[in-house]
Amino acid sequence: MRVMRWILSRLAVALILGVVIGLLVYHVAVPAAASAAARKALSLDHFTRETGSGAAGSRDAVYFAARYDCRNTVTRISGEAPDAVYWMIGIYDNRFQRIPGGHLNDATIEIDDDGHFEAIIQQGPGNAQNTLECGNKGTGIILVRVFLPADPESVAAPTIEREAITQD
Amino acid sequence: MNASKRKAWLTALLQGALVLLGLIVLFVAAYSAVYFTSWGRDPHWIEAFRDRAKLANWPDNARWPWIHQDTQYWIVRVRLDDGPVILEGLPPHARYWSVTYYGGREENASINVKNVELGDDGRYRIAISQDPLPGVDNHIPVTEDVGQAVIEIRITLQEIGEPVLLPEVWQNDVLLVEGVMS
Repeated sequence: MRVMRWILSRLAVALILGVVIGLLVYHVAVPAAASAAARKALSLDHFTRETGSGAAGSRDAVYFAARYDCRNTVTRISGEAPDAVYWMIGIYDNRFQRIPGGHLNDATIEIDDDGHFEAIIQQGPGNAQNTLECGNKGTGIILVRVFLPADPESVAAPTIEREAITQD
Repeated sequence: MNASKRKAWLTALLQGALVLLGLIVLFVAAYSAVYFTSWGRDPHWIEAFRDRAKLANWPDNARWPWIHQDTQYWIVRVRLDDGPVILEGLPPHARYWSVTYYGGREENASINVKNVELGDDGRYRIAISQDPLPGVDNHIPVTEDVGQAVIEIRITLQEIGEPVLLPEVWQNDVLLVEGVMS
């Protein structure tokens, strides 16, 4: 009986510790590590073209990656719509999860007569055709995927402009 | 709390931590043993996003952290050192689709919506092998050292109302995986 009580009490402690450590890893360690890795590799001000193992796929795709920080900042992404079978812009949180409302593709984004697009990353909803809504996620990654471009070498990286939101 | 009680609590906490560590080590060892020894046995199509929470799919889904709603990622585990693999099926109804494989390197040739060659019956046949196979129009080359591999089909902007089409997977004239039309 005593041995059983000892085993059950230690298992209970192990279970509680496991839950606490799991939550800490998921909510603190993973986002912190991902954010640190992204800070090292990517910029807030310009896109980096990803190739090879960073491209996570076949040679069909050209990827561009950057960071965003939507705490008191609006990020404006603009550029020429690529000539490709498909392209998209998406934002992800620091757990590598897509953010609902943070996704636009060539069919849903507004492209002007000159073939240019402009998308805005901001906390709240805006124009559905050009807003990537980051909600309360704070920071994360922006990914641009271009599948089967007519000329992969000529696909230009979009530009990034950041505007601080002034609190009145 | 007196000193002896505090010591008893700390001892229990430490012992609980050791039990947890032991359980984690046991779980990882057992999981790894099952995962690697079962590779290529009973292969089947897995939808990377929908099936990502399943325990058996955790390691494979580590490759797809950036998946998004426009694309379905279908994967199947095979052993390429057992012989050439042939995929045969109808092209998906989608803006973009491609077949590629992961064997440790992540930049591979692919057969896709633009470069696929279809037969007279509208079906494609793709060989995933070191050398092209006679009578198979589409070829994805693999290097000699690839053993365990994951074949991936990406289907982007699937047409609404049309079925998802996944190919049959053959190896050494044996049907490994049935095709899917859902």
